[in-house]
Amino acid sequence: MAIQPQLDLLTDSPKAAAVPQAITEPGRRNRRGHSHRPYFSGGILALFILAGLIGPLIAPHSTTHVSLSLYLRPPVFAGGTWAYPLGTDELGRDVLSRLLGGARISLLVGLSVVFISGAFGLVVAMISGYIGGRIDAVLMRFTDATLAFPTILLAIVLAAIFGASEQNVIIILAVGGWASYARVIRSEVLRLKKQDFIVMSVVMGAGPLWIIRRHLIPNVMSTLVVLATLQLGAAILSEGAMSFLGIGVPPPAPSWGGMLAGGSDYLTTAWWLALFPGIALSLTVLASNLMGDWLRSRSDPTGHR
Amino acid sequence: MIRYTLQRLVQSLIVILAVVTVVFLLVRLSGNPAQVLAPLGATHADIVAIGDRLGLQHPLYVQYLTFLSQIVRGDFGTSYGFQAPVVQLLATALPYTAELAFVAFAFASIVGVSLGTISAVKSGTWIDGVARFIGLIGQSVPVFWLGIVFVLVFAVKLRLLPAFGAGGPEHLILPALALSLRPMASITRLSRSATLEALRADYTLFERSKGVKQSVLMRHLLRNMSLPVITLTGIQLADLLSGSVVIETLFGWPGMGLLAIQAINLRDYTVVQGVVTVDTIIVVLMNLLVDLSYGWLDPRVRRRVFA
Repeated sequence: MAIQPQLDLLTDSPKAAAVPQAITEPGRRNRRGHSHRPYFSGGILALFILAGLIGPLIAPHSTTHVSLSLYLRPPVFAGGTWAYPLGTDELGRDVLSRLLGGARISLLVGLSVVFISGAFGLVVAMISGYIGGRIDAVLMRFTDATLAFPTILLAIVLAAIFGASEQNVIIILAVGGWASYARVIRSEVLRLKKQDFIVMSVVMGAGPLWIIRRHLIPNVMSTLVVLATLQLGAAILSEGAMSFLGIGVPPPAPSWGGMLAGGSDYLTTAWWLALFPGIALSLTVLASNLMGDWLRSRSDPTGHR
Repeated sequence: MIRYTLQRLVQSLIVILAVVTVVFLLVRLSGNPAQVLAPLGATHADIVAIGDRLGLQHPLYVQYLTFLSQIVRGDFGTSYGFQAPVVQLLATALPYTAELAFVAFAFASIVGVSLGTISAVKSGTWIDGVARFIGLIGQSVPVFWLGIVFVLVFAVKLRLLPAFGAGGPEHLILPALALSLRPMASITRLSRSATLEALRADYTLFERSKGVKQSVLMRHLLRNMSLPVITLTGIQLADLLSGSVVIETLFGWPGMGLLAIQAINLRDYTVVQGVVTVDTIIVVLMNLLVDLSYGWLDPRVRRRVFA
């Protein structure tokens, strides 16, 4: 699990400052499927967001209601009934309803993390890139350290001291997640600020805040969106891993990671418990990665910046 | 070179100190540290005794200095949950994590670099397809789910491999395989793109036009693509360590990750503190080694950075 989007997906390596050759991905633009519209990933993501928004309203059963008499019913295609299409878990809770409830948790955690860490990373990138000098050096050292630090350790410490909660998951992932925005957007800012339209604005007396608002932020928007899309998947994956370990969203909330953890105890008797949340998680993350890839190849026809 | 090494060494020490300080402060932030450090079911007298050991009656900076001097001497305290000195628990667990991470990473590197290089050279063939598939799946499928699927297939259905615990080499196969997928995906993707870039470079065209032998050309290619791949290694280590916590918990592999998770369940913060400190030191030192290895691999960096 990683809180960051995988770094080879980013155009800039966190170590690029130490290495003269920037790591670009020249083969990327030739990748199959990028010229097509992303129907698959778009469809999955739309389904995921829809499930997160209205899932709990259309769910056939309660996500937390325990009824032991209904425990471990198989899914409908393996001898179950339509009343519980994806079967029930060890406490008799409907798996489909819990999957829908889990979508809401994943969506909420994912979007919160993306929003908080994106905003913070953007601010750091602007300060670091536009002001430069000593502040830049300090901020980038800090960014590198954050990138290299395994966020799960922070998660373990916080869970040990304050206990697990959905709010803590968001805080931890945001604390670990801003650095890739700062790194990548800073390098964009460095490139932009040398360009004529910004140099001219400075000559004409524009202040830094005005330039950042009118020129820099609109110009880094597409990069920001690409990073956010990739991070959405990474954050959902991390939330899943933390909940799986019991240091994420605490039960009985229907988090996909928590469902997987519960299901792993019943592998021999009730395979569906671990199968469905795993598929939901994998598909959502896959779709978000594919969408991020597509957005980047579209916003950047040359394949490298 | 020496100056750069020293500079990086000092930076590394600062990062370690910062993490240790955060670990120290977070417990104090929680209100009563003795309460956090006390085991489940501790009596009031126990908690007072722990508070005395921590020196809670002293001002914060005295507590901090005591804490630092204990850590420097390798004294991480005693675990109430496990009834053993923390340093002893760490010494038992560390080799297991190291073994698992090393095997997983070695496997990921060998497969990833070969697959990535071949897929770039044979761009558009089925091997290229396999490489891209691994690159995509590896970054999307959660390792814990992959681990569960492995257990289901290889241990439960086929009964080929043990699914739980440590023992002979056969115990290592499933967890190492599951852990290797994610770094394998990154390494494959990066090797592929780095090789594609090297293939397009002027020196390759020049060597080809001169009729240089394929094997010599390949050696030059590999040397040039190795830098970005090594760069990734340092970052991957953090990822690998995170993954190992999940994999160790799933497979009951008695390493640092499982120790930390068990400690949380026992509310044994002393152990958590030890694991986090040691893990941080490992990650920081590995990153230092990666940084220093650039100069060895690429003379251009040596001249620029070490000048």
